[in-house]
Amino acid sequence: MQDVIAAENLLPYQKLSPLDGNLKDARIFSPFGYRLVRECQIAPVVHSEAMRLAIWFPVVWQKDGPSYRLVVLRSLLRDGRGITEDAARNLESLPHLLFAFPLAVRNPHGDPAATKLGFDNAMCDEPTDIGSMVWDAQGNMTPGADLRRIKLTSFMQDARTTGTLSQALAQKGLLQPWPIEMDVGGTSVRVDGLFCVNPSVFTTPDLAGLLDRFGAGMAELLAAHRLSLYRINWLRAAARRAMAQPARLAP
Amino acid sequence: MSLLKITLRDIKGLRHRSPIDPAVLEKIRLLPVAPSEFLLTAHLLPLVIMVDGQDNQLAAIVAPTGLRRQVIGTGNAWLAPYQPVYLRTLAFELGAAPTGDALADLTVNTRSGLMSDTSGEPVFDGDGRLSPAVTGMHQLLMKARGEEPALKLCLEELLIAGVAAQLTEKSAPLTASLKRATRLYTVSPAALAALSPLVLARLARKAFLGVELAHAIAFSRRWMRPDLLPREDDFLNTRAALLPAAETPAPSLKAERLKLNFDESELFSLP
Repeated sequence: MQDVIAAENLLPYQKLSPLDGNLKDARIFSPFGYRLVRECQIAPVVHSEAMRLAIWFPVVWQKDGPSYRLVVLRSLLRDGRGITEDAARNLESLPHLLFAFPLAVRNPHGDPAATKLGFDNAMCDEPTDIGSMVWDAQGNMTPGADLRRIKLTSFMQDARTTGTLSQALAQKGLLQPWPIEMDVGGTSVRVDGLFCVNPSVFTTPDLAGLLDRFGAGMAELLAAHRLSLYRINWLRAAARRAMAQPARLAP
Repeated sequence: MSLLKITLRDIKGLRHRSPIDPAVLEKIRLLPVAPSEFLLTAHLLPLVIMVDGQDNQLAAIVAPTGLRRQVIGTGNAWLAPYQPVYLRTLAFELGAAPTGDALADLTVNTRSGLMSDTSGEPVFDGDGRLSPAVTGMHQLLMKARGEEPALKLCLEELLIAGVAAQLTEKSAPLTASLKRATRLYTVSPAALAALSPLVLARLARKAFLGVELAHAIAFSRRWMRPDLLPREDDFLNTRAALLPAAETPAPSLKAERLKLNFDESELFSLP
């Protein structure tokens, strides 16, 4: 199937194993116990979570081969610093894919029925609890694992529509580069490769056709995008505070 | 026309002080929001539609008792990274037919209680000219005024489209001191998600303003004291009763909005 893409393209997973009975001793911990979740700067999202995530992060696009992928920018810095205080260690602020970690979806844009779950063997380097098994003694998913599975299911169910909405915007020529280069506490910070909707289109009738074609989902995505861009101010302030702190020692 | 307006010529020698004071905001309660700033303001304060007879106005609740999260901290520090236009200019009001001359256009906002002869910034400089701060406020208010007709039209369309939902009776103190009977509305996320593609396209026939305005108001509900919010269940039931089954929408809200309160303690087996 052409639109099947590898999970590794979504997040920098280390080593994905099939999530099956062979992992009967696998444990999962709070998402924030994992470095990947704490440090992820740009995470893929689906349109149905865009309005929720707009509370904390710019919801924008990234080029993914010939197409565009919806993402959130969680911080201006790459090392896990610079996430705003209201988002750091806040489960509500996590995109589905990060909430679900270390569970992963192995063919995210493919047929949901044929989708296989994966498990990243990443080490929980900052455990805040003793964790939970993935499978209980009867071979059922534990509640913690099941909640992550539900998050992945939400992502998979909407990923195709999100792609359709994004490609429709691109085909109309509405996506343009959103270069970020700003001074943060005396240091120049750059984030490349992001795209936004051309702001001048919002004062024209040009979006009416897309709303007529795609309805409330497109309306909500565009509104979430517009609202979310203002969060760059919060990210900048958080990055400035983070840069003023001495660098954290690696565990 | 009002004989009670106090012009700037009447107040030579007076000073205007900062509006960042919980007591001032509790007295003002509702602050108009300018068309150019509602997307940003939705990140800070709950937006409402004030409906008064035939007129609609976009406003933000600023009364500390109407907020879920306070915007003024210790030492009267404004905690948010942005101050809305009508807050910055609260000491003054723009006349009904401004000419572009700040001295003629501005009057004193007597409700704000921000004028004093002892503290704050002088309104006029030593040469008897309006201070740059006051002329700056005049420009901000002129710009907002110019953009308001398009915004009011969008508010009217949102009311007609049926996405507005009235705040509960507990919001009455917010409007009690207004001269005319005023009702306060928010936007129902469920009603917004239920709008048909045709209605959305018509709302956006000139610009996206109406659609993003509706979403901004819905987005800002999180900052409102929860018991002021209309009960979404009542709305959904009413709506379902009005629509034929086939047209009853499956709102795009889904579990996403309804299950946000994760309790991490239940996810993991703690010792």
